[in-house]
Amino acid sequence: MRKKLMVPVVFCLMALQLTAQEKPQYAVSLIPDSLKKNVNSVLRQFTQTLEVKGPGKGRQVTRKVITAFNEKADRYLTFAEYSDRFQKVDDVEINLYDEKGNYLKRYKRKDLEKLATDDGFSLVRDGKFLYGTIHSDKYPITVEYNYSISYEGFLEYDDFYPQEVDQSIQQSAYSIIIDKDNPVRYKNYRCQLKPEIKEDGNKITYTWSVKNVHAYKKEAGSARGDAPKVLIAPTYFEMDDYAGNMSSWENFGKWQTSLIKQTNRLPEERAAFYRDLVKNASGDRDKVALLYKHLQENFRYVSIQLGIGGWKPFPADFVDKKKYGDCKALSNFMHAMLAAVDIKSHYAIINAGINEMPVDKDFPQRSFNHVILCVPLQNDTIWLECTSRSQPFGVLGTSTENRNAFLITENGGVIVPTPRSKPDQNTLSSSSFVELQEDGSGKATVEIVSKGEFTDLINAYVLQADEQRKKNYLINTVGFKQPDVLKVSHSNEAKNNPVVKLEMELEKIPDFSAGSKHFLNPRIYRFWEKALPKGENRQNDYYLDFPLVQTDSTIYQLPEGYVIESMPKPASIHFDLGSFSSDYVFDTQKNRLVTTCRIQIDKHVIPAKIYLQAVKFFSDVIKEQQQKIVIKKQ
Amino acid sequence: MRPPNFLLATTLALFISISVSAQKDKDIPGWGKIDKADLELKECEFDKDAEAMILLDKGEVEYQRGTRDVFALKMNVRTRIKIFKEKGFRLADVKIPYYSDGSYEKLTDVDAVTYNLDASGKIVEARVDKKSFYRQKQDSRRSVVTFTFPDVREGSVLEYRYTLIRESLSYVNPWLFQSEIPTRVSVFNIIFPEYFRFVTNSRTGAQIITKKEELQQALSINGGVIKFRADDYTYKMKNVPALKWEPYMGSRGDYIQRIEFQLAQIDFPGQAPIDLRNTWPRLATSLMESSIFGDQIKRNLSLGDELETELKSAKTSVQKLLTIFRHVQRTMEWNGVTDFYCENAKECWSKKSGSTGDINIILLNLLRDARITCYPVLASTRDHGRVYTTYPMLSQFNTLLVYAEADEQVFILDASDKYNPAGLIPYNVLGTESFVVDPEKNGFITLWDGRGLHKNIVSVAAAIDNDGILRGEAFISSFDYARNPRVKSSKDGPEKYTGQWLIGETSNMKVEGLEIKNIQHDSLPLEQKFKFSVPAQGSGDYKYFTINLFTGLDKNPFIADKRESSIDFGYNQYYMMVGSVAIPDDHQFEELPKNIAMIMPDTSIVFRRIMEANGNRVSYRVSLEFRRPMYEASEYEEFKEFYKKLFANLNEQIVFRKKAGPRP
Repeated sequence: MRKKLMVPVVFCLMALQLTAQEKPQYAVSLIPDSLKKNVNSVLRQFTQTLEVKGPGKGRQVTRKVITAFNEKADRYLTFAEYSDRFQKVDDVEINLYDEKGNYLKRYKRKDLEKLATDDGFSLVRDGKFLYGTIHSDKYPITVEYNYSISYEGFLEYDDFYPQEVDQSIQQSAYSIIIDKDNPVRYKNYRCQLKPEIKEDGNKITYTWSVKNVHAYKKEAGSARGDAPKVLIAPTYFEMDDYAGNMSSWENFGKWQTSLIKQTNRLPEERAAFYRDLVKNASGDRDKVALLYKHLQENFRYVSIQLGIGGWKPFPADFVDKKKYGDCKALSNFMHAMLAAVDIKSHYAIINAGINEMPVDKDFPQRSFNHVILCVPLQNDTIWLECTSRSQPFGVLGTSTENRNAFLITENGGVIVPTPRSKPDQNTLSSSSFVELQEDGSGKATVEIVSKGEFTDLINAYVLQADEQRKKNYLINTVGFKQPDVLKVSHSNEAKNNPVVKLEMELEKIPDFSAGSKHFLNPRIYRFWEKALPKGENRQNDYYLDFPLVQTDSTIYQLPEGYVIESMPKPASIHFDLGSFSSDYVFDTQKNRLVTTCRIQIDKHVIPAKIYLQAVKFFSDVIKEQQQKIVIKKQ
Repeated sequence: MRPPNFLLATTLALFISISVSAQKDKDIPGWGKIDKADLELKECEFDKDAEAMILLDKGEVEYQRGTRDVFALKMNVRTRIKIFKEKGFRLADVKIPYYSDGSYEKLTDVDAVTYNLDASGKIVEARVDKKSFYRQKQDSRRSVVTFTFPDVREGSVLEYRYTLIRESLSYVNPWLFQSEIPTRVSVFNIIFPEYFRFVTNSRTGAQIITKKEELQQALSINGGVIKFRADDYTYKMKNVPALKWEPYMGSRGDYIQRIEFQLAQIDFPGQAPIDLRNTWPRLATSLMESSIFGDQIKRNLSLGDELETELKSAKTSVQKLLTIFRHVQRTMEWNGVTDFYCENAKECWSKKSGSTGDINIILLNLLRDARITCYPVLASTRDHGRVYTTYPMLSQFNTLLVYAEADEQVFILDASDKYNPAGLIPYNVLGTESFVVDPEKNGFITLWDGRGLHKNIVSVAAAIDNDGILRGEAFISSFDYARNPRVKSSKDGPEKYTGQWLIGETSNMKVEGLEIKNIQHDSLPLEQKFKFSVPAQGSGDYKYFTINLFTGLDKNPFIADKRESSIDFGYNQYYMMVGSVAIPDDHQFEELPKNIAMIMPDTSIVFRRIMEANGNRVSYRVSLEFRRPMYEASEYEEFKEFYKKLFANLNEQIVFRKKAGPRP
């Protein structure tokens, strides 16, 4: 069952004659030298014209020419365009040119493969990809893509990128032709660009264009999608016969309401069931907590994306019966359960993910990938992540905190900020008792208590994991020495603050020994590892995963006859958004050394202007870890 | 691969009605007959950590009237799964792929039900409704039915079944008794009418239970009915442990408990028996006569201007061979498909892309045209699994190589691998049994010549400055199997290269001025030269550093208590670290790590460390040699102990301290 990606190229005599007459416009020598520096490819020409024939109808024609200088730019030699009920790739033609700009080969639609889409997490998805890869053993190679897409429904238009990440641009232009009474909306992000606007009868044409632009260099750890762009969106749009107006969040929200309104009510019999479930609750907050608990214990997340761009949830009563759904369906169902007990809540659409920035609250646009639920109670607002079975009640987690949610209310849409992440929501604290023998062997008992993101880690690698995975995590990630005997036990499941207990027997506890001296680490695992990449002149904020508090206390019971030769001094290290402290106390009576330490990171976004401070902070914390406690025989 | 289509030249119209006598087996509950004890079960008794277990996996194969050929195979599958933990929920998402092109396979009668206990302890069921089975095309040839079970909780029992009809009379899937989760009962039943004789090949432990019964079946031929005998075989295994991933495991397929079937003979009354039982020579002959194998080796491919020019300067046979090999290796792009066929060598040669089969058949064409003795070689990559020479089955192989002789030298070539040089047996087949396909030369060869090594030599000259930074120069030579992956990643630029091969786990290591030599000279070791600096660590008066730098030997991969599979490194290994490190004049060494030699009892691994201080400079020479590429699971205890000590020694630090104040 062999896949055939490409069929042989038919050398058409006419094509040869044509190219012989044409000037080799794609010759690599025509690229200005400065654009070739520090890049593996150049966007030679990008010309895209979108003709909007109606709110839900249009056609986009694209020509994209890229020169790849080496195999690191091979990803640009791949064509992949999505098709479904609402958009279809009409024609494709791909031409290849050599270094001198001479025509080499042509690929047509029949040379491409049709593949089912797979986003890596959905069980079922709509749509197909038209897909093909070009092979070349010679560089530079220039590839020209000509293709057009017809649309039977719009929710968005492409944004325009006046600068590309790791690729320089020779020439790039994007035009939209549309009815005058349906103006295109646009807004610059990190760039100064004005479209050229031409009117012709009742049509209007917007054109953005740039020439000779150097590549955008992305800084390590900066927010996703921070490259310059022009945000572009429709005013009037239509999708699957649902018409809408995106000029304000309020109006865009009304469109979304039309999608969910028939789906968010439960039949009376089930509503009564949920009323009964909360009949002993002490107040609204308690009712929400009970229903959320019911959701977490009985429902599970399954991603099924079919129809209308994955925007319409499965009906609440389907979820109620099947006990599964995706983020839309589960949030919509939670909304319906709350409605059954007369508690108001709002479907909240959001862009989830680590290092994602908030969407622009002043520019209504489709830029979301997730749905949560917002429950506005009298005195406080509760946010619910409906896809997690282990999230503590009322805590969102870092993939949806610190950004703007698009709330659907009875009066349309509204943009509301989600809560800020707080360090005390993500805590990890461990206490160890280590009994050392003269030869460096010994026993250790470790207790670990966690919250938030740390519990997620512990859930995945300890509570849910098999022996091999557990051991691998504890030794190779957390940094315990390889134990001869390891017993792992825990009380409570992930959603109720689990306590994990490790009991270990180790052949060698000291980091190393020289003669009768033993050199001990301050803790028996790696307490802190994260160092920031160095960077003078940092331009962008640095994103850590989440704010946190981590504490440790370790007691070393020394073997008889052993004394401390040296131990680290207590440390106290700070920067504007965090602090670290440690202490070392020797109890001569019990012949025990007690080490303690604590790190707190207040915010996960480190502003560029204090970046160097942060680099030094983390590097100092790591140095502190590397000190040794030296014990010796008296 | 779809097997060759043995269409029978028969005009008989056949219809088989099978009367299977219902046999009760208490291990095999009926569809939907759920034992309450299974819903109450909290863990798998022979694997306490398991997130789920297969309670029953049942397959039945029988013949029925085909629509394409006279016969088709019908397979009924039923699986019952118990969920213990949330992590096991993924087993509730089911995908059943099938080959839909030309209706070669049809998937029907899919049914799925979840069982739970309600609050009062009653069994409740939730069925997947018809419209929640999603049938989608994957590409032009394959389709898949996808569904998910409703109401899944910790404790649920899930059961699904389906029927697969395959328009083939010969291809019976191997039955796998083992899975990534533990299995309580796995049973496979197959009914062969007496006309079909199958050869079975079982790769199972001792626990397999086989049962054979004779049945009478009826068959209508052209309106008449005849009765005939059918053999009903049942294979059963109980309490099969999960097959888990282990480091350096080699092929999962070598360990998975399974049974395989091959149709050997068809013997209809009144017709001459058709013997399908193969011998290796017969397989070789049919391959050489095949349009997608033998025929493609004689395609008169045009050399192209470039290769023609390159060949002009080649004088000896070896030079010609190397020129052709390197040209094909450089210009042909592997499309990710591993196989041993080629549908159209000319087409692939022109589009410069193909599978392993395509590319190496092209290589054969060009070598033969240059009058170099060469043969196709069927091989099984190490992750595909071991080849049993006593079973003449093509399915044991998954790739094609080229065996070539020139000037009395032998070469095993794979031109689809961009980085493996001509003189080195490719790593992915190293040590395996392979089959040379040639009417005269037919036979097995072991792809092992004892020459290639995974070898790295690291030499370091460094000193610790007054700020406590260890600075120096390093020179690494990487040979053979250590060379190939490094050459590959040298294309990713110095930053990634440094991250992958030089910095490793030591995050505060800095590397500068990296120069890599011999990337193009595939017969020479890859030389990597650079400057580095890393802070010596310390506490109070003491400072220390490690000399285990740039070897990749940072973490011991063998930390598990038990081992089920062999440890398959594939190659023999050699590491050497030599160098010297000076400390500031006003410092002195504490006791140095001891000079030692550690040898595995069978002498297959040897570790030696010699260290000597001379004033403020320590010189060292550490070597680690592996003389065996593979260790059996039964040797694991000894191996694990050795590795633990080995890594303790490798990571021993050199400690130094400030000298006591000057004496009067």
